[in-house]
Amino acid sequence: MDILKNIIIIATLELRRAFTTRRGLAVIFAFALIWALLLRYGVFGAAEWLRTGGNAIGAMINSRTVTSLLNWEVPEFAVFWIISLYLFPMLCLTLAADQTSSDRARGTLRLVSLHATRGSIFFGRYIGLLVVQYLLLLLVIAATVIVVVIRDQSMLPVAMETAVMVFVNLCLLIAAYTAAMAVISLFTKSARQATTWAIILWLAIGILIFWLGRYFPQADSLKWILPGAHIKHLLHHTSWQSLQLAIVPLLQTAALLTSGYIVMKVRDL
Amino acid sequence: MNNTLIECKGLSKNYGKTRALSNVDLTLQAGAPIALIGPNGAGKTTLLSLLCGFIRATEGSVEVMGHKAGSNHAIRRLSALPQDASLDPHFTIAKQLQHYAQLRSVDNPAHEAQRVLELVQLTEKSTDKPEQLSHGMRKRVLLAQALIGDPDLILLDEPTAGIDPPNVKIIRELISAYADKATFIVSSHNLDELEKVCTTVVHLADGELRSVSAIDDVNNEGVLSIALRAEQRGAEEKTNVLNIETIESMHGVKSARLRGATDLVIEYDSENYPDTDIEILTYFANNNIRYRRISKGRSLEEQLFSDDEAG
Repeated sequence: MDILKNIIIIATLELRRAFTTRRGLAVIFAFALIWALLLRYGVFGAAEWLRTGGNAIGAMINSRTVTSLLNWEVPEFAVFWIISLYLFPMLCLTLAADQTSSDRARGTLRLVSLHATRGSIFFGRYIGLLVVQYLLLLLVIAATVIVVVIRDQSMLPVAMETAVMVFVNLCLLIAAYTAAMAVISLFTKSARQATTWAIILWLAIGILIFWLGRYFPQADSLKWILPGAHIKHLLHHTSWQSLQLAIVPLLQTAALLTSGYIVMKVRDL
Repeated sequence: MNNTLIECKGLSKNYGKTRALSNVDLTLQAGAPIALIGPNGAGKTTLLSLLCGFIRATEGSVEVMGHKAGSNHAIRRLSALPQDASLDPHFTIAKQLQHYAQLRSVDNPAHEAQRVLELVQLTEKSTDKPEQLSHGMRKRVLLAQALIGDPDLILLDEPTAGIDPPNVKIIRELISAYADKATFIVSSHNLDELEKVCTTVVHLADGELRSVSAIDDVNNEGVLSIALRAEQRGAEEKTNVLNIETIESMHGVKSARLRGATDLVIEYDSENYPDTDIEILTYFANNNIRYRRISKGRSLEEQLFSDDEAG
């Protein structure tokens, strides 16, 4: 009971860190600015293109991804989908990088561990950063719905349904990436180091699996261990059918959190 | 009633190939403050870190009040001031102390944060962030953190290292005042400070437990240390007022020697000649020999040095 309560307390502090500290607010301001530009010049402009001349160009290109985009009932969300499927994982590499790393280097983790179990700290930080990202995601999805409604008010119901579908899928994706960052954070001394190592590991493991796959075709299935492995498959989905792939990020998250928890329990602080 | 606070059995810790702590068997009871002493690299911080659950033992076991170190039950009853720990730079001191109080399920966390800040005399700094404080103040805030929720055992690792005398005094007085509510284990190189607040000494050296002894041990009788005034030394050279040979010739005196420029150390047979100290003081009074401080018994430092020499 205490453990669950402490997880909530620690998660709440992460929310405070993001939304009340100067550093947290600066990150959110940068995030809002990026998305404001993306919505105005990316989502709004590209959606206009998809609505008007997309079909003709789509037929010419004959790409499965472009065809999938043309199948979206709400073109704004088609563009949002593509951008966020790649951008949110990248943002996660920085937003969720510092779960325990700088606190360990500073000795703050030792102080916290005097008042809460290591499990509470690990899961509290993870959940806190997850909720922060979910709130930011909600914010940009709400902004996208507003962009849709500005163009055509009658699209509101379908935009809302699409928004929920997009939100759920992105939540699952972010959960897996944040879990990966929780594990990497355990072995690094700063947020920057965690982000750097995340990029190196993703590239190295990706290349290794690709290389192994050339010689041993069965090894190709190892690609599913990497968070984000299902992104290119998600691109072809425009409805709730996308949840058929939900098992991938769910299993990745469970495996990463379990291994992270074990490391947190046994590792010297 | 079992009053055992700490129980270490065959406790060892390796950092790679370096053995920081070797086969330590130690049982400590709750009570007056306990000093943890030893030179650099003796294993003091390692032992305290094992007790706090920061690090895991390579061999052996360590229990804190009957619970495995680092377990949920143990951390409920223990707190500490770790040597190199810092508070989070992004939140105010009060906010962080409140957060720790919440984690400890203290009834009114905001009030608890103020209470502990009051104990370390830093109430007016509650809205400051850690980097706005001096080193000494930061140590006091860390001590305040260790007092949250009234733990039964408080471990202080070098609480006075690198801080100025006024801050040292505040910390020392707080330990003395709080000693009836919790058992302190204090690791420090400042033996004079430890002597003022502790009654038991755990001596570590080279990662091994050398001894566990009481500061006011019976062997400690029969020593008088007198810090002479600086001008007295000059006077001795000119007028020969202080005659060490005269002191040595007194009944029961075994030896008298000057340690450094102004410290006179006299050893005597306190069992057969219990009034020797009075006789010495009378000699000082009659010859108008002035001194700054006088103490009976060997200092902790002297005990340690003589132990090391003997060992």
